[in-house]
Amino acid sequence: MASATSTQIVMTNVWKLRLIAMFSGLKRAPKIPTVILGILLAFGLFGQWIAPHDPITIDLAKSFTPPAWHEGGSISNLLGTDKLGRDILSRVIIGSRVSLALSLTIIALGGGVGVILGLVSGYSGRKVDSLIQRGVEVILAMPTILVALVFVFTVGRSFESVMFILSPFLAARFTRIVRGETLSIRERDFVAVAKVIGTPAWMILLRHILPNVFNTVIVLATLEVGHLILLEASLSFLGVGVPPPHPAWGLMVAGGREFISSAYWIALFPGLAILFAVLSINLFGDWLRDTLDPRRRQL
Amino acid sequence: MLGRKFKILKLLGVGLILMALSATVACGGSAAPTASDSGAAKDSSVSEPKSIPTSVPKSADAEPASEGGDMVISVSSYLGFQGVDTNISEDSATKIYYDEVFDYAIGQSPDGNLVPGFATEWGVSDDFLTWTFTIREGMKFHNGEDVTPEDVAWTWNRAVSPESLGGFALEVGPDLSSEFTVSGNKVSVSTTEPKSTLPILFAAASPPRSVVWSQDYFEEVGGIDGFRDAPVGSGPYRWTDRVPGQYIEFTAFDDHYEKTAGYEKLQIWDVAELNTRMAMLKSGTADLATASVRNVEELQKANLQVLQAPASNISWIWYNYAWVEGHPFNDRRLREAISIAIDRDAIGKGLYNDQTTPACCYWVVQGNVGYPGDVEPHPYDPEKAKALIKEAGYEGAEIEIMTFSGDADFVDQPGLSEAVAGYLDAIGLKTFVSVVDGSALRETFDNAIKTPEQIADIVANQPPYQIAVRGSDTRFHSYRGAHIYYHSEGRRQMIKLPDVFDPLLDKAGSAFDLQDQHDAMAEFHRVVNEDYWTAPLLEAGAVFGATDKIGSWTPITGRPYPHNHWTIQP
Amino acid sequence: MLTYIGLRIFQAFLGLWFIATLVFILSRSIGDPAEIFTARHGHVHARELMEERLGLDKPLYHQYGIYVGQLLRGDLGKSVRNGIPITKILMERLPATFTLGLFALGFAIAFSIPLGVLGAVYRDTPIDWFAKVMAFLGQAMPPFWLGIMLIILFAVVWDLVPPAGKTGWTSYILPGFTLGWGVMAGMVRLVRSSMLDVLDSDYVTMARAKGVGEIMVVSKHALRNALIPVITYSSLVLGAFMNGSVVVEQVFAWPGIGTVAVQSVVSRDFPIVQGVVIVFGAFFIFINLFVDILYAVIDPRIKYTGQ
Repeated sequence: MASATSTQIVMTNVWKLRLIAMFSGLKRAPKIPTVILGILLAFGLFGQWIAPHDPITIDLAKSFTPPAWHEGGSISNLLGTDKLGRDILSRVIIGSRVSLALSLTIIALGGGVGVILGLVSGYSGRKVDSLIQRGVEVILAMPTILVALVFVFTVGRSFESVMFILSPFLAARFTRIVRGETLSIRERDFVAVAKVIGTPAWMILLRHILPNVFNTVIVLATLEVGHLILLEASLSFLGVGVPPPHPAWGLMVAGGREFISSAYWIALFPGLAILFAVLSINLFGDWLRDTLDPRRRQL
Repeated sequence: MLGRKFKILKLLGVGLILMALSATVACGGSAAPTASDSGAAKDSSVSEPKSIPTSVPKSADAEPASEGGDMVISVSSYLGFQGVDTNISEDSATKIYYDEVFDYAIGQSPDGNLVPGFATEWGVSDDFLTWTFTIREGMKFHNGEDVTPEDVAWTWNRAVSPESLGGFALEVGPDLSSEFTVSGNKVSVSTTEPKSTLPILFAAASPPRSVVWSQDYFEEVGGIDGFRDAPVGSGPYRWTDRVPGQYIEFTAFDDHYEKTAGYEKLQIWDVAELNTRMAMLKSGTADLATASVRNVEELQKANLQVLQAPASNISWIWYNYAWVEGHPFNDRRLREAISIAIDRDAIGKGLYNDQTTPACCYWVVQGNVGYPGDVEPHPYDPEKAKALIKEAGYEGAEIEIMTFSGDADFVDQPGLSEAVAGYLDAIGLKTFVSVVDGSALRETFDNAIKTPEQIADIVANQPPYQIAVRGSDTRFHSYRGAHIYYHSEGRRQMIKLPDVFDPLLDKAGSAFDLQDQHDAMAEFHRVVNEDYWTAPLLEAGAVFGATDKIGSWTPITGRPYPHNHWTIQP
Repeated sequence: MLTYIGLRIFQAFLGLWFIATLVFILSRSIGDPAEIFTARHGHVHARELMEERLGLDKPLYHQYGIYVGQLLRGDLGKSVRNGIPITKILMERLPATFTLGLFALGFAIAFSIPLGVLGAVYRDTPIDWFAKVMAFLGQAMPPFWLGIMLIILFAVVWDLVPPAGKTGWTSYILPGFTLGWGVMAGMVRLVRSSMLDVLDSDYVTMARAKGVGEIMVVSKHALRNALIPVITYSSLVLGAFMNGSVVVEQVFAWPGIGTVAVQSVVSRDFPIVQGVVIVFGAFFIFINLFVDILYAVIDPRIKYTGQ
């Protein structure tokens, strides 16, 4: 009993140490990506107060206004307006909420399920593992965009349907990675010790394995955010993304591509937003992986 | 680039368009529907078989086409070219090349009127029940065989056979009381009741399609599967090759009875992405391509020709269940409020580069049979709209706008719907837009397939009340579109008001004089407009970009896609 | 080992069956294809005809039985819209997608290897950063956006390559680039990390101690070992290409299977959608199987450790 308690103490201390390490490590994070991410976060949280205009109100008299530095542009619509006269800057700002909300919900949902399944799969006996693995393989074998297209087309275009259909694919990826991690961690000494003293499996998973897997999960999550934003863009391109008038970035780029030559600003600025956001997130995630777990570079 | 320069460019643009149009007009016959007498249709009385001279001009030089070389046309088929079997289904993509490869019994002149195709005459018997088509002599198929009346009868019988699911079978079939039979050089068929509008159904490019295939060849290649891979028709272009998913290639057919193609080789590419079509034009990979109203400046900047076919698309709003007693849309005030809340001019200027005009009527434009000519588009009066809403008690009512995505019958229907939603919100209705696919829309608005109990059930569960923003290319004769949706026994029955619409439509359907048909349809459109049974929105023209290789082209009014390719001359 | 291989093969077929069933369920839930085509006039007759033709009038389990039977015989059915056998459509359109995928893969490998090697050798220097950013850029742009930009730049403004269509080897460049850049991030990372592993290994230390030149060390010894994971990744990547080609093909009017798939979904032509998903899935599963077996053959140890 004494040893169990001390294991627990060690474990909690490790968690604390981890958190401390993470925050101090952030100071050494690559500067530009972190700044951009900070801005993104600000947009996401405070967007409705930062945005100069309502992103949804239509004003046809102002359709296709060019950005302020062109003839015919005005300061009030700094980045111009789209085909229905809506302010591009405001839509980009609020769009960050939509795009990020979508990605984060999918990661939370799909990732959550994926992690749990991965842990179970990696830790359980051959049969359960095999079953879950086959399921994962089936999902990964299906072409994501096509299946999403079919689903959203049938069920109807909405934020929820897009979210719902993309989650399993994310879950599958998480499961695969987490399972691999779990397989190697469960061979480690402290797990063996925990088993010997009779710790139930769920507690082992929660207290011993999950913290060690955690880093990988975080890194994967950051890398997948960018992936999801692009997926949303492709789905919008095909006509089954988040429905208007939500100002999602991918939708704006897809909708604005018709006007590349006549009104480039409609597609360019959301496109740049995607570019900088995803690039920053990926670079940040890459750095995160390098610092947290140098050995896991193979992700 | 913008601002003042924008205005100058715009003027230049308009000028260029006018020049291009006049060039087209001068070279190949009228391209635009000339505003003759307002609304009166061309006279082609069909109460007795009469000889109608062809009005499609023969090409100036009688030599077979060889100088022009190659022509590449880039279009978007949206759903892919499905192949030539009309027994499977209507295929909207096929109409882009169908009348190059196959001849139709009845053709269309550039201003959209009916002219002889391979039927030199057509007429109905005294009891109005038997139609007779006189088949042209001396026509040849692409493989050298003669086109015989037996071929015609065989093709048409195959098309209306019980196994066929094509438009021809579904629209023409049920009205027939006999097979198509041959006697000499005539093909005849009998109908169960007098059907004055039968010739329309035999006209080019309006589905269904009354083409002629070679029976011998068809059986030689083993039926439809072989035929689909190597179709043989009698049209001005012969199908030579196909890269599935990319293009179809045609070669000029020199033995056509009247049409001489301007180019030896023709390739029609299926390119879904507008930007890619523009890139093909600019890099010279394509010579003619479907553009959009916002590309006008861009095309001019790239020194490309801008060709416009005016009034080829029209859009409108339907009110679902407006005919049901007690439904909000049954209240004329609400219907009127919705329509007059919309500023059509502002939408045209803002969304469509000022290339649209407000439409007055449902699915009919100037030059079509049935265009009243004396009806104004609904006005823009948001104050009155608000007052009407208040009076009728529908403030805050939830409205769902349903529209298509992708199959652009009218340019940017989703964008148009959003604009409309904006206006409806401004008068106090709570609106949202649902972009669905075509069949979901049809299911929602078709009442022919619903029982009264189902309808009552659906209505009880509303709001949101549904309106549809719909669009289409325009048709020569507005009877068909009206009958399908507005007649209580129509194919789809969007609206069921037998007392209001049936008499008008029946009158048009039983008159054998085109002028009588026109007058009856005009009356129909007046009623629809006056009582706001439909809210017509906008008319638009189709925009095409072309390189200098295109000397002239004679498009047919009402077709917003490249067609009549044989008339393209260097 | 033979039991392992046998087991894997069995599992592969099981996975295939799962996919086929899943596809069956999904496609039956798309909606009634008979609706979209048949008119209302003669509505009942036409619809019945269509349903009979498609076998939709039979009970679900019966349909399933027919479906599986057909699959086993390699018959994927006929398209609802035009009656063309699906296998024929697939055979017409798959090669274009496949060759484009190969080209994109080749492009990705050709660029990833130097970038990854540079990143590893000059680790944590600006060169490393540059390599990373180059790779990540490929994942930071929507592929349709990239494709359109490339067309405008290289086919219109500079007129170097054809803007669209499959018209010769030059026409592969832009779509291949667009498709390939997306997977470069993962590949560069992979090359870089396995290079780093190898560069730290005893084998390389020994070589250095022996006095072998640095360039030799990198290119001859380290690189060869670093490439093995790339091969595994390539198999995954081909699967990703099948997926990504849907968008790229539409932008470049590429006559592949992606455009067919999209058109079929939109027109509710579910036999085609079924066929495409099954074929893609089968392809992915069998590539995985192949790689797994290859590994088992090459390195028997691998099988026993990671399970």
